[in-house]
Amino acid sequence: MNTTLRRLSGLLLFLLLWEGVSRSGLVLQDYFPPVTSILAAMAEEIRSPKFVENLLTTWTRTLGGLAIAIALGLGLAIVSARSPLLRRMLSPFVDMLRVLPPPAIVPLSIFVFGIGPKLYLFIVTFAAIWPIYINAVNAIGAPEPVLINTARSMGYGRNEILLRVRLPAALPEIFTGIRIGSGLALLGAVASEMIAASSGLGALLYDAGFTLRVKDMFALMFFIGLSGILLNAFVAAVRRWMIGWHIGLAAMGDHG
Amino acid sequence: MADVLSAEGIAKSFGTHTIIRDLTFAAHEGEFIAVVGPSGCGKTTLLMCIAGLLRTDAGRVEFEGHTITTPPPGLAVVFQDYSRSLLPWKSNMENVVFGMKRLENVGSKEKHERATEILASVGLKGFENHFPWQVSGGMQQRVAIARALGANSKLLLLDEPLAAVDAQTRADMQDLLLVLAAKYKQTCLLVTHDVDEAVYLADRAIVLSHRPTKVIEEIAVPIPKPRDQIATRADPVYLELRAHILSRIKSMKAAAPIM
Ligand SMILES: Nc1ncnc2c1ncn2[C@@H]1O[C@H](COP(=O)(O)OP(=O)(O)O)[C@@H](O)[C@H]1O
Ligand SMILES: [Mg+2]
Repeated sequence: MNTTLRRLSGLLLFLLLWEGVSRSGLVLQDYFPPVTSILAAMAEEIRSPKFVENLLTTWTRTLGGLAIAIALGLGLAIVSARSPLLRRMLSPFVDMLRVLPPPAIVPLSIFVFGIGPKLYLFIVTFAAIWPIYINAVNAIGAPEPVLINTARSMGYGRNEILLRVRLPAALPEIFTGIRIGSGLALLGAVASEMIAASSGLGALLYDAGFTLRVKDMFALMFFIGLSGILLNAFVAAVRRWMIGWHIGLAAMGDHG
Repeated sequence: MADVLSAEGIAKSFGTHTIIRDLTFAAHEGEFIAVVGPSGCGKTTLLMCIAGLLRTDAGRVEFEGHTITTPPPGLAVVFQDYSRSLLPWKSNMENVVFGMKRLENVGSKEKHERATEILASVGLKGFENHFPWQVSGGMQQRVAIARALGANSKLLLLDEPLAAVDAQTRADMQDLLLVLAAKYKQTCLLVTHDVDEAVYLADRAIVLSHRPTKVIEEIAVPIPKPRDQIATRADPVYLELRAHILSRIKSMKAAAPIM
């Protein structure tokens, strides 16, 4: 509660400063509109069904791609944990691909997928999958040895240990990967929309910038930022629901 | 009495470090054996070999007539690092049920009833739905013991279970272990570096040397059961055996000044 207030007060102070500077005449209001007018533009946009449709389009692309990235990333991590050879073979590709910025793969992806839903899903998946895979494969590959010995002595086989011990034990780190991946997913969605779409927040932003509608441009940036905050809160809620045990354990100090 | 477990000439090295050299002993059915040896002599390594979790370099471990190569059914382990051996995402009850993997013909409902009963018998009634990290270290250990008992095993391996608890808890836990061993008809192999504990608990004590470790003496402890923290510890037999083992360990130290 206290920290929420403090965080909000910081943001409020920043916005007030912005408002003051913008209205003071020190800068050109055309390029640096006051917050209140940006908020007014946002209020107007959110009332337009067309805009809401675009907002939902971006959210759908982000969440869809993120879901695919989680499924593929975890699947790949589980298979890699089972086969050290595969893991070692994948490692140079992962190191190479994970540093490619999502916009850099848009042109090639257009050749493969054309312009359409598949393209955006692919870019978002590509942007989000690496931190999820890397965190998962590292955590699944380095379990607590006592936990493994315990399960082995009880008669659990390798595959059962993987799914019933190593995977759940790795969930806290997997969620760290998902959290990073979710931010990159939104980034991938907006970036691909800016380059190759006629719908979604990215496309609207590109259009607003190109036609010098500065207030709209700022409003869209605010909406993208807001989407990021909401997405983060959503991931945090799922994390709390799925690994409440880890949060409780961490709050207790160590395991004992 | 039949041998439940026998180790014959087992040896184990890690690289060039020889930990166990030619170690032989047997455990009879229903016996409580205390293996006592100095810290770092290879007690945990020995238990891991017996449990089928580590391969020996030489010799043979036999459990109920079968040579052990992988973890066999009927044998349960309480690890030295017991608190890390519990699954933190499962409740105490679910941890005990998780240990019942080999009870294949027992339904889930029955497993839960059994877990409830065993948790009660280790004094954890009312803590079934707590998570391990929500209870004290001593309670975590009892969960680990309950889980080992729940597997319906014959042989219970206990790796220094009481090394980390305070004196009063230790005395209580020693008595609880004796009660549980009798109630659940367990053959117990308990590893400890504490000579008093070994004599108090055991029907037979096996004294190990420094590394590379081997058996230097096997001593029967002919003190009747049930034992009692006050009477047993004042028993002349107890005192004599304790003094004997301590002097053996001391003379061994003198012979191996590097330790
Ligand atoms: N996996 C391993 N690799 C190499 N050395 C080990 C390993 N496990 C144990 N050791 C060494 O073996 C010796 C005996 O260890 P341990 O069996 O844990 O002794 P104890 O349980 O009697 O204290 C120690 O010196 C330890 O460092
Ligand atoms: Mg040890």
